[in-house]
Order: sequence, then C-alpha cells, then structure tokens
Amino acid sequence: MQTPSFQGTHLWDRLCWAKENLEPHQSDYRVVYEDSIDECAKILVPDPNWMACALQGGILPPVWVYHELAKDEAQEGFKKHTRGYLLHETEPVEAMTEEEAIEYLILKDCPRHVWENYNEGNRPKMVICKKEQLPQTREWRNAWKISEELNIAA
Amino acid sequence: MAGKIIADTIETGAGADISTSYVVNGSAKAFANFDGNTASLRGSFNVSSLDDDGLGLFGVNLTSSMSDGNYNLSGGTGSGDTNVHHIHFAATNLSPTTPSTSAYPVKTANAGGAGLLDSLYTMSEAHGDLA
Repeated sequence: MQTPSFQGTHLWDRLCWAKENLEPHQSDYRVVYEDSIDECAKILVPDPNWMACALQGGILPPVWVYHELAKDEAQEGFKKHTRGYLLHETEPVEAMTEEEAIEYLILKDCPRHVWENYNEGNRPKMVICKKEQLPQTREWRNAWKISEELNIAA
Repeated sequence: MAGKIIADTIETGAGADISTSYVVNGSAKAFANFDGNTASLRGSFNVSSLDDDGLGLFGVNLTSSMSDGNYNLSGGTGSGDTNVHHIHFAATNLSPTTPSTSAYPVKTANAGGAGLLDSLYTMSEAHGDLA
C-alpha cells in the first residue's frame, strides 16, 4: 500500500491512518540496556504498530526532531512545546529495515547517556538481542544484568 | 487521504449541536495494554515502545508527543492471580514522577502492601493536548 503524502499532516493523524491500514509487526528484537549501575537492566520492547509505521515509511518524523523537542523540554522554566510543528511539518523518513528501525528507536527512546557511549568501559551498557535470548521467566527480574553470553550473542 | 469529512459541529439525535473540537480534544491521545509478565504489548495507539524497567516498573514511550507534562493518565490492572493489584504512574516505588511529554511511567503493585509485582493486564491511557 502506498503511503499518502503526509508532510504537513499532524503526526497523530498519520498514526490514525496507519492503525487503520497497516498490519502490526511484532519484532523479535529487544534492546537491553543499563541506565544506572545501581539498577537492574532495562529492556526496550518495540511497539508493533510503531514498527509497522517504520517499515512502511513516509509516516514517522526523523529522529532529530525528537532530540530537538527533548532539548526544549530540558530547558529550565519549560511550560509547553512551541516547536511541535517539527513533528508534523518535517519530511517523514523513508521505509526502514527492521534493524534500522531498532537503531532509530534506540536514539529516540533510550537515554542519551546510554547510547552515546554504550561500548566504553569494561563491558557494554547496551545490547541488541532477540527475545528468545532473554530469560524465559521473570524470576529475579530486579537482579538482571547484561551477561557475557548476551553480549557475545549480540 | 480518501473520505475526508470537514465539519465544525455535530448534531445529536435530540437536535443539539456540539463542536467537533469537543470530540477531538476529548479523545484519548494514547493507550497501551500489555502483559506485565512478559512485557509484551497486546494493543496500543501512539506508542513507540515499552520500557521494562524491572518488577512492576514500566515506561510507555509516545510517538506523537504531548504538549506539556500536565496531561491526564488513567488505567487499571487485571492480575490473573488472587492478589489485588494497583496501578500508579510513577517510576519508582517511593517517589511520584511527573511524566515527560514523550513518555510516562507505569507502576503496578500489590494492593495488600506486599510491594511491586507484574500484572497480567496492565492498561493505561493518556488524555490531554498534543504538541
């Protein structure tokens, strides 16, 4: 199915179109990352509707738009977004592969301090893996860390 | 987009007019229904990803950001066990958390005071203004 020309269409309206017209795509990829040394590993799970948009192309804004909005929100005295138009007016990104979509999602939804230098230090702070590589039960969930095996597998 | 309807007002069967802006502004802007035991989304809208942050702790990341952090969150849980579960919108077990415009935290806990736990049905939605 051809994506309509969406530049200038509110992003929320584009998502309504996608919900109506695209099949959700369940990704097997997971992003495991350690946000803080004192906390357990966190796991980023892609949303199936979002992944369908990423694979389709022409719907999602470039990831830098989210970084610009995050900068605005980090300003002292932030009240509300005044540059929301960036989400809607910027030319949407083209179709991505599933792997490219995961990279986009890392830049969008993982903390910047994690992905900026994830591979520095004694061991990586972030790993992309497949769902089946994670523990099959959530026993001791609060003690999960990135293991050597997961790192090698990734 | 095909089939576009432009209308400023909608008339009810009783003949009363309401502005379409009531409908648009009153619609939920995002929702997420997931299984906390597997951190998998069953249904959603305007969600880019789910963060599994630990036992009973999750984050919902939005695709189309909210205008500010003062939007309204509501939700519920279905435990699937004999415990009564609570849902809160906080990132830790101790402190309240203001949601950001692009994500909100979800915490599920045992209403009996036995701490955080994962809920079979964890459901949340956001109402408010979009950026």
